[in-house]
Amino acid sequence: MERGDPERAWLDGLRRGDAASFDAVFAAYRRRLYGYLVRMTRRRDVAEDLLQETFLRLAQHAKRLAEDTRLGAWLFTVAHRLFVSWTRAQGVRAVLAAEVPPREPAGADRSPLDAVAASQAQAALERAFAELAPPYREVALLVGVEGMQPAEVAQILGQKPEAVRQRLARARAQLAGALGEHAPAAWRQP
Amino acid sequence: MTDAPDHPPDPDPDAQKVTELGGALPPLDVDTTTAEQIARRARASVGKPPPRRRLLVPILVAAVAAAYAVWMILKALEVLG
Repeated sequence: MERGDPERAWLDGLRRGDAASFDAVFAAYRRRLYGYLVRMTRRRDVAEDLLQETFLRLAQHAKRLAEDTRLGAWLFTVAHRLFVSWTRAQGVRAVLAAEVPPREPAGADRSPLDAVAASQAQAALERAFAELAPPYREVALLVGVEGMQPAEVAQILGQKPEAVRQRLARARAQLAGALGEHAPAAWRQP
Repeated sequence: MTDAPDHPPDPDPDAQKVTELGGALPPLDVDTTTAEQIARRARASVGKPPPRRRLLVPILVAAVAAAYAVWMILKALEVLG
């Protein structure tokens, strides 16, 4: 994730409290963050709340951003922390309710991810990612969808790069197993 | 969260394979109305600090904990003295 000139200008604008720069950052990152949050929480309503909170924090911290801040890494770090907090709250609620929380709102016939899949193969791919345990899924999404390097993902997650590489290797193996016949041909070769 | 030294390109084969798959996932987006609402709410806070009420709960918890600790110390002194 190299920071280009627009990002430099956005950062300078944010540090001055410029709303237009905020709009530009919102337009550039909203889909990426939302995709990450939906695939992590598997809930569109929760993803929308966390997306809003992520951008609220950006707005509130705008003037305190360091000159060399990487906006993408900053935003994904905040989104990751919000997801972790939400997961913990879900765990507490489940204990209090003495039941496992449903993954989807009651009555949902299809997952929000299946609904956007254009083909059977895409739906299988969504399911394969969804079936990964959250620590593996998160690494797979940040590397596989966001195109981040494992070292950058390690910074976002507060992990060692080696731990991220191990998670990535396990995610790859589990994806290959889950995809079965839907896996790309190259994946099926031993 | 500041710039670290730039990460060199990673030839990690796992990263390459997972990227092949990740690139095939359909893009997701929040609906336009919700996106506008989120942007409007957040934009209004650009450059403003978090509302003070966010600090209220931690301050109350700290105050109660401190009061309890003082009470415990006084009780202990009372028993010992």
